[in-house]
Amino acid sequence: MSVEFVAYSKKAFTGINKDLTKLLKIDAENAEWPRNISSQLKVEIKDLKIIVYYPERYTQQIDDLEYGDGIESPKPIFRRFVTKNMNFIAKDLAGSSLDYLAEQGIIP
Amino acid sequence: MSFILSEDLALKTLLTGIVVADDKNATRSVGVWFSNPDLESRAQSYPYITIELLDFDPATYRQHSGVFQDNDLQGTIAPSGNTVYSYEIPVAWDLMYQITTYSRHPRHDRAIIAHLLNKVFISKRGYLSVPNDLATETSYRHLILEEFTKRDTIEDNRRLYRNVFTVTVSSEGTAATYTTATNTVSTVNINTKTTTDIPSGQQPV
Repeated sequence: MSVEFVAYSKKAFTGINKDLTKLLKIDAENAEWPRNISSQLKVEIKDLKIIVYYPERYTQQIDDLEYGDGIESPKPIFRRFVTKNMNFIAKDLAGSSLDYLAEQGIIP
Repeated sequence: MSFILSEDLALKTLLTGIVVADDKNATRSVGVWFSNPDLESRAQSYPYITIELLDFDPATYRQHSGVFQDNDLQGTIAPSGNTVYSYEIPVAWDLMYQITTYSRHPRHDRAIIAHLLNKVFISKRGYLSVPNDLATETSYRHLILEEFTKRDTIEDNRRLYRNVFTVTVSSEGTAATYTTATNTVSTVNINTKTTTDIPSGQQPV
């Protein structure tokens, strides 16, 4: 017997993307990133990688916020975000995989 | 010294002593600061390195539970008589640091990168030696290079070479509370009494 997890996992990630986006925006606000930037951040899991989207015109400003500009100290959110949320993603995926196995009648 | 302060100092010690060369000075020392120094002193002392603590997370993946016993309370109190300290295994932490290098000269920039990659983060991993308060023992912590980013820029119409190294240091907290209820074992007695109940044909140990 084989189990097709790929399609199911992709579906499960759609829900996680929204949760992660919300968490990242909260992190950005807590780190005092400008609201015009924090409100436009978006997270997506693609090919098992966490990808953050933001408007290209803010690239320099975001790099300065994340790594510091030589005068202001860094206010990192991206580097902390991946570390903090890897467990969240793993747990969520494990949970949805179990749901799938139960739905398929593979486990009672 | 306690958790975080010890790692701060150990990291500064590890990065201090880098020397770069150029046409004017063959032994130019690279300064090390916590966070960014004032603009005035910074302008006078390129190249330099800054250390910033970004974050700390409980390292649940390597957390143990139980009780430790030692005679110097994690190297903070000098051993005295038979006193033994008993305390819960401290919380394991991962500390995330940003190490940023600044230089005006491309040769300095490359020399600092080469030093860090060849002597500090060899194969993306290194170690941080952290002596205890009593200077009687040294613990070695993982020092893992998580990310490297080149962030060269222009400042005052001059090129400023910047590199950002993000590193994780494995660490642990200090004992929250302790007791001194236990004494060290002073003597161990084995087979002090020879049994008389020995089967025939056998000898006592």
